Amino acid sequence: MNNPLASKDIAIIGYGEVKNVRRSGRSTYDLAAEATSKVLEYTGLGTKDIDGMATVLPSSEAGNNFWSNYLGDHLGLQTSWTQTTDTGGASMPGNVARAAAAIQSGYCEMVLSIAAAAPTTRRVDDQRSYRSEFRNPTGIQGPPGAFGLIMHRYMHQYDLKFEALGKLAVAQRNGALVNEYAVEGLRKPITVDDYLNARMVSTPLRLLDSVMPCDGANAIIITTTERAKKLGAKNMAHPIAYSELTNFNVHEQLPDITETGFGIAGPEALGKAGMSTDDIDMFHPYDDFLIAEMLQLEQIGFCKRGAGSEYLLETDISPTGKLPINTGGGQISAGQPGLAGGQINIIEALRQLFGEATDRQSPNPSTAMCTGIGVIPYVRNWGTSAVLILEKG
Amino acid sequence: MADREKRPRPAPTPTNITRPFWDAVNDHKFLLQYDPDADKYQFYPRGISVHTGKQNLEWREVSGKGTIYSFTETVIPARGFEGEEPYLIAAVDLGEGVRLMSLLHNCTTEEVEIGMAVRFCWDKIDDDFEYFAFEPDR
Repeated sequence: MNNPLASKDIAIIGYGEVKNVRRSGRSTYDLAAEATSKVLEYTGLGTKDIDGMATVLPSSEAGNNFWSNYLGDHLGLQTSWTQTTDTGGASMPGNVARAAAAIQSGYCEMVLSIAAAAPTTRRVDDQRSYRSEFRNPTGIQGPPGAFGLIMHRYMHQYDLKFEALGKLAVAQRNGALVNEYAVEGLRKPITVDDYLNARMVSTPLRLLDSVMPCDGANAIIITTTERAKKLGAKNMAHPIAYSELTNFNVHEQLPDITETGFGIAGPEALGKAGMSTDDIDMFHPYDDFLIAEMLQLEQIGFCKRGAGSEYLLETDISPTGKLPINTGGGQISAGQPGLAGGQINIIEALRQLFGEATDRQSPNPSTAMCTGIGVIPYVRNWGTSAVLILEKG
Repeated sequence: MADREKRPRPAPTPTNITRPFWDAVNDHKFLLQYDPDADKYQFYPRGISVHTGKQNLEWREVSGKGTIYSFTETVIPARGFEGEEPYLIAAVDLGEGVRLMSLLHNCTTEEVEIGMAVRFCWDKIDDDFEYFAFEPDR
C-alpha cells in the first residue's frame, strides 16, 4: 500500500490554541491572529518563515469566496501554497496530509495550518441543495436529529448501552476540568447519572451527547523533518499515515446508516502505517456526538461491529488507561469552535506526544490516532471520514 | 426555559432541477427521478444519475407506500417548529428503493416503530408550498 508519509520526512513542530468562549464578540480574524501568534512563539518562527497556509472555511466567514486570501493578508503571510478545505470537521486532519503533499512536491516548506471560527458571534453560511429543500423544511433538529435517527437504527440492529456513552461523557468531562482552554461553563464535573438524566434533544440523543458551540481558533506548523532538525525544534511529531473518504456509499439509495467511511479509511490508514489498533497509544476521535465515537471505535477496528458499548465499559479510557480517548475533553466537553473544532483533537494529541498535557498527561505515548468527520448528508451517516496517525519524533 | 418565539417554517428553495418535483407536491403527488439505463430511482433530485453518470432521467409518480427505517422524536424544536414539540420525524424507505425523511403525523411515540407501514400526507407551509409528510398506513 502506497504511503507517502512512510519515511517520516514531515514533522509538526508546534501548536497554538485560543481558549474556547461562547459569544466572544471577536472576529474570526482576531481569533486566527491569536492562534498564529501563539504557534509562532512556540516554534520561535516569524511570519516571513511561513511560505504555505492551509485553513478551513468557517460558518462565520463562509460568504467570503476569497477567505484564504483575506486570512493570509490579515496575518501578514506571503505564501507560495494556499489552501482552503471545506470538508467540515475533516478539513484540518485533511490539511495535514495536503500540506505534507505540497511540501513533498516542493511548493512550500513551512506551512501554517490554521482554523478559526466564531459561529456564536456571527453566522453567514447558506447551504442550499438537499439542505434547504429536503432538510430544513422537515423540522428535523439539524445534526442532533440526524444522529437521533442513526442511534435508533443502531439500537434496532445492535445493543446500545447508554451507560457506555455516559462513561465516555464523564471521561471527557474529566479532561475538560483540567483543560484551561475548555469553555468555562463546561468545567464542572458530571456523573453517568447526569448523562442518563440529561434533557433529550432529539430522541434518543441527549443534551450531554452533544457539543456546545463556541468561538475559538487553533494552529499548527508543518515542515520537513530535516528543516525541523536544523531549526532545533524542541518537539516534533510525524504524520505517518492518512486516509480519507468523502461521500461514502453515495450510489447506494438505501444505505445502512450505521455504517460510515471509517470502515474503509480506518483499516487503510492502519495498513499504511503497518500497525494494528494495538499499536495506537491514544485515540482522539472527532466528537460531534458520543455515538459518533462509538461508531468510529467499531469501524476503525478497536472492537467488533456492534460491540462498542461493551468495549467502552470494559476499557480504561482515562489518560492512564489502555486507550485514552479525547483527554482534553474533546469538543463535547471543551466546546466546539465551529469548524475549528476539527483541529482541537490534533492539538491535544500533540500536547500528549510532546509531554505537555500537565494534569492529564498520559504516560509516554508514542502514537496517536486523530480523526475528522465532515457534513451530514440527506438521511445518511456523515459524508467525510478522515484518519490521521501521528508518531512522536 | 422560556418559550421560543415562533418563526415561519422554512419553505423549500426550488431550482430548475427540482421545480417539477415541488409543482407535483403542490398537487399532492410525489415524483421520483428514474434512470431507465440503470432501472433505478434516486432521491433527492439531482442534475445527473448517481447510478450511471448520465443525465437521462425521467420523473415518475411513486406508489406512495413505505416503511419506517428509523425515527426520532424532536424535543427541542427546529426553526419554524417552535411550540409544536415534541414531534416525530421518520426516515422512510419507499418500495421504489429510495429513502426519504419528513414529519410523521397521526402517530404517537408509543406507537412508532421501525418497519411500520406509512403513506404520504401533505402539509401546507405557505401560499406557495405544500410539503410531503407521512402517516401510518393502517
